[in-house]
Amino acid sequence: MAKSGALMFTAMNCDGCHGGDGSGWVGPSLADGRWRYGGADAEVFNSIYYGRPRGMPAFGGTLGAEGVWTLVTYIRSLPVPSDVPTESWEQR
Amino acid sequence: MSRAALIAMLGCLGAVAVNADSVRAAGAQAPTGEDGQWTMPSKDYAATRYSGLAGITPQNASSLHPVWTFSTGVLGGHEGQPLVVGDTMYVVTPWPNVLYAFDLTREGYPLRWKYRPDVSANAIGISCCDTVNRGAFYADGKIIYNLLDGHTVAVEANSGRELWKTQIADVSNGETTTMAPLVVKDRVIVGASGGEFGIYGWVKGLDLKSGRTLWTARNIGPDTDMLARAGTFKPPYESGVDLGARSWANNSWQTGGAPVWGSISYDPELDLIYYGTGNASPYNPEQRLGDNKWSASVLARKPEDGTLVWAYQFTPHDNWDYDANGAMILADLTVAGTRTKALVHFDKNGFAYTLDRATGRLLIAAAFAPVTWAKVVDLNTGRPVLEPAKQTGASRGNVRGICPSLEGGVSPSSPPAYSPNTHLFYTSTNNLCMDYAATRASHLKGTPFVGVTSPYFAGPGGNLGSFMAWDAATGRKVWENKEPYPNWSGALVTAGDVAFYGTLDGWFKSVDARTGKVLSKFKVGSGVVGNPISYRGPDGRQYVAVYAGFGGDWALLSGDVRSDDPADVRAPADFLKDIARHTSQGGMIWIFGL
Repeated sequence: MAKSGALMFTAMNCDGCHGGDGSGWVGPSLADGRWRYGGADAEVFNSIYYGRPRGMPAFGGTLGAEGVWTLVTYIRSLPVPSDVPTESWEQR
Repeated sequence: MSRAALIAMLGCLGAVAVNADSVRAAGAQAPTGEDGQWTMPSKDYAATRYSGLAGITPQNASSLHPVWTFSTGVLGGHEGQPLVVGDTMYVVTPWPNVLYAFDLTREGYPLRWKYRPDVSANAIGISCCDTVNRGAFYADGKIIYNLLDGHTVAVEANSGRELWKTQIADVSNGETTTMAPLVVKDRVIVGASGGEFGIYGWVKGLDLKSGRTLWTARNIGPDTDMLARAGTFKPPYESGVDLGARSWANNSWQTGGAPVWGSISYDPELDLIYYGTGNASPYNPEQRLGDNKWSASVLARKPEDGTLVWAYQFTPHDNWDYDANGAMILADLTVAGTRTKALVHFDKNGFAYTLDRATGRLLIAAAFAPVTWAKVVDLNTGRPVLEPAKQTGASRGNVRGICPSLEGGVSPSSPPAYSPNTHLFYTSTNNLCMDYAATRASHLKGTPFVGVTSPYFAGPGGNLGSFMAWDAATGRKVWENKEPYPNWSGALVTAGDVAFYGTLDGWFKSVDARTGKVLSKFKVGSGVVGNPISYRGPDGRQYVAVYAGFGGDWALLSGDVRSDDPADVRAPADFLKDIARHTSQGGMIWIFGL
């Protein structure tokens, strides 16, 4: 399911906004463990199905619920880095 | 990179396609008078970005210092430049495209007014390359500029009152509007971005008084759509009808891109406007076999009715996203002993071109940045001689070691300057190469139509960018200041023989226009992707103004320089590992004086 979601992520041009592997481009990163509208399965589903402000289209009409769940499965399968809020350039 | 590849690259750098000694610059396009204002995006119709003010000189520039700053209250790449009309400075911000009018006669430059249009936030998500605005144009008592969501507005310069607002583009179709308009007589010429969304690229002519759309000319497609009329359209290297349609397999021109998001220049004597078109869509070239005319080209049209007069394609069948939206600078040069009305263009593809702007014929083409996709440009055919191993497409897999990267040898958002004093052109450059793995893209209205993965890496030399002086009469670099990061600011040069530019890590520099020696530098708080201007203040002194505001491309913003969204924290971009140590997003106007 995650594999067909990965193909769908490219075929539906999701990567055009969210970057290859969902790493972020004009749209936010989907692989950083942080979420504007929540990262639970149902919340990610709603973002894709109904769209979000600032340019995220609603894909529910095109993909149907099953297609959107396929994408959710892929997105939730992306490896998430440990959430360390500090970025340091000093050698310690 | 292999040693062989490096040698091949250096060979290309030295490639000059004419007998250099036969070409000499003459005193070209010298402004007849300097009124101390900056009323057009590129200073003048010839797009020289040359100010005739001479108060700042190599002798006194070391005392340049900030005299005023103002936060625009907006993040996003602050491309473009202010205007100065009389005693007022006008500033347009990135989305939501606020227009500020500052009173330069009063202490602290308080606002006369500000204009806050209602601009759709839906435009943000379909801006391929940040929510930028490339500036306004002053004409007939009006400030005219584009809103990101596909509208052109005219605002009364004295009062800030909206005079007209015209929808020119369709956001739901992937069109946004980032370029600065050009006003010629009573026409307002505008175009749209959307080369990453498979738009059907165009320019339009609006009526200056009413804003009504009087003509629309496509950049690709059948002659009727392109306003290419029999007996009037004479491309120098082609003949036949419907070149803009027949050079696209399977009618792929219908979603072929060729957007207009750079600047437009104008020659009043020839009565021709000149502008570049962007990439062909999608990035996977196997979905649009053929030359894909007239994407990645320069087009010359009559401003009154849009009639196409000539076109020249820099990158036929673009395989690398080499948009030709960079400035078309008009200068009169003596080429092979003949005084020529020339057009000079630094292309994303790494070559600097000199054309005859009456006919579009190629006079000179020389690499100004590392080039591996082509060996040379053939002056007889006007076509690049391709490097077969660097052609791309979904069936070719990952093609490695292509220079320049798709950010370009220079970003089209970083317009060069030309000095009739030194006869030199000044430009920022990027020293980036890429791998290019094309994939099949599907066209879904209003979503990206791209089809590529293209990681960047540094070109030879270790630096990622530079600011250089270029002799377009010999096709040679005169001097170059290497910069650690890709250089994205526009250039300014003045009659005092001082050139100005900003850097991505936030330095604003003045340099000796003849030697490149740095005369002054100041850290302006955010990366500079805007274009410096110079003007005479109400006190009679010369000033220089520039925006600081990192952005303008998602490759630049894709890393860790943003701090405004706790739900979007990314790792540093591979090719810009420590840029966030030196800059973050911002939005400031800076004015420098002696």
